Amino acid sequence: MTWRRLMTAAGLVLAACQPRYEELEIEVAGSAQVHVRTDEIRIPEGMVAAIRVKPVASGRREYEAFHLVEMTSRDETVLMVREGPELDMFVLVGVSVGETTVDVSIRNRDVDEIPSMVIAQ
Amino acid sequence: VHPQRIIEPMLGLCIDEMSDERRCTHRRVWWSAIAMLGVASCSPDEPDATGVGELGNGDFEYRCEGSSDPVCADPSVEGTFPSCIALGASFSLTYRATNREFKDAHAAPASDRYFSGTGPSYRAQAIGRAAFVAIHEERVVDYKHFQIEAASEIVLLEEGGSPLHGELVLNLDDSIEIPFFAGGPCSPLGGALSRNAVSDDPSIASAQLSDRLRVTGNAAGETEIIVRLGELERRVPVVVLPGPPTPIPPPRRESGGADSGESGDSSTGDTDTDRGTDTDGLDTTDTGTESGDSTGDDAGTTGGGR
Repeated sequence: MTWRRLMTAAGLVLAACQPRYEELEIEVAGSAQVHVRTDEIRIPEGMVAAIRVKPVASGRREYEAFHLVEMTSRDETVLMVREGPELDMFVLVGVSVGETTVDVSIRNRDVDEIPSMVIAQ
Repeated sequence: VHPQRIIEPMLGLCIDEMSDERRCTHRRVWWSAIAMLGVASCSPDEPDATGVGELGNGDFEYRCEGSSDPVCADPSVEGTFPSCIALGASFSLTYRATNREFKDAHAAPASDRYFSGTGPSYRAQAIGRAAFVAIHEERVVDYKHFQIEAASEIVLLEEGGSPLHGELVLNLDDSIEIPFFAGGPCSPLGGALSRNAVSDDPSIASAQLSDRLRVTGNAAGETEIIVRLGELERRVPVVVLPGPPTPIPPPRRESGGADSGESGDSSTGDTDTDRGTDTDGLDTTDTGTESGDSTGDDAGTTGGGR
């Protein structure tokens, strides 16, 4: 019983050490006709955009370089989200018209989800 | 075994006088041939145009899939990477990473709606703006956008490279070869379209397709060559002239020794000048063969359901 309490306490301490996620800072690399914000991704079908992402913490503890962001599309037949050539870069590919959601996680912890849309040209 | 006996044939060298000169020559030839074959088999065919990826990690390499692709047919834009592709046109695209980390990256279309094909041959399917991505393992390391536009005209080039606007004039028995390709809102409008050329009256002028359109004057008169490229059609008026004027024989002199052929030579020279439009000389075989007045060429787009 004591052992279980200790593990729970250790877990709580570790969780408290993680920065508190507030939002994802997104910068579109290139001038593609895309609309990428923390709360929405909109990209025309057939087009591609590279984005740089940086997690922003709400508390005093900031995210470090090792807090790698992962982005995953729930439906890659609509929007493909792949890692880019650099660590903080992702490439969005408008595969076909439709809607999906992009899940954002940091060190395997889900922190956000972005409603996403691939629109017709 | 003396090391020289191993090294010498490998390098194709004859180092000392002990070597048999004839045998050495044979070795040189063989090793040169093997080396040339090796180089030829190792170096892939050169692209017709290259365009840097938008993320700068390599080059997208473009190759023409037929002689109606202006990237290869139009001397004024030859070698220019096309930012536009003609709707329905075929081309080949690969990716070569300059960043060695991504050396296995390959090109793939972002959306099947705009480009069909499994690579490296693709066909433009719909009007719009669409990209190719370079994929290395699971990562997208580069990409390049293209504008897909419908071709709006058939461009034929006269000798000298200027577009042909009026009629095509040639002498009887002459042949001229004309590059032709699709034009549109941007240049070059890349991609090869299916093509066809037919003469309205093959007894006056016949049309044959090879890399270019070859028109041969068979009889004096006027007709039209109908050129088709994808969905486009253009009727080109053709005038076949009866040929150069028959040379007037020089006045004969009483004494036979003086007509050493001077004036006769000059008339031959005139004939050549009149045939200045003939790009490759007279081909009497083609002139006599009328079966090929109408000819088609799929320019690599047959089975277009890619």
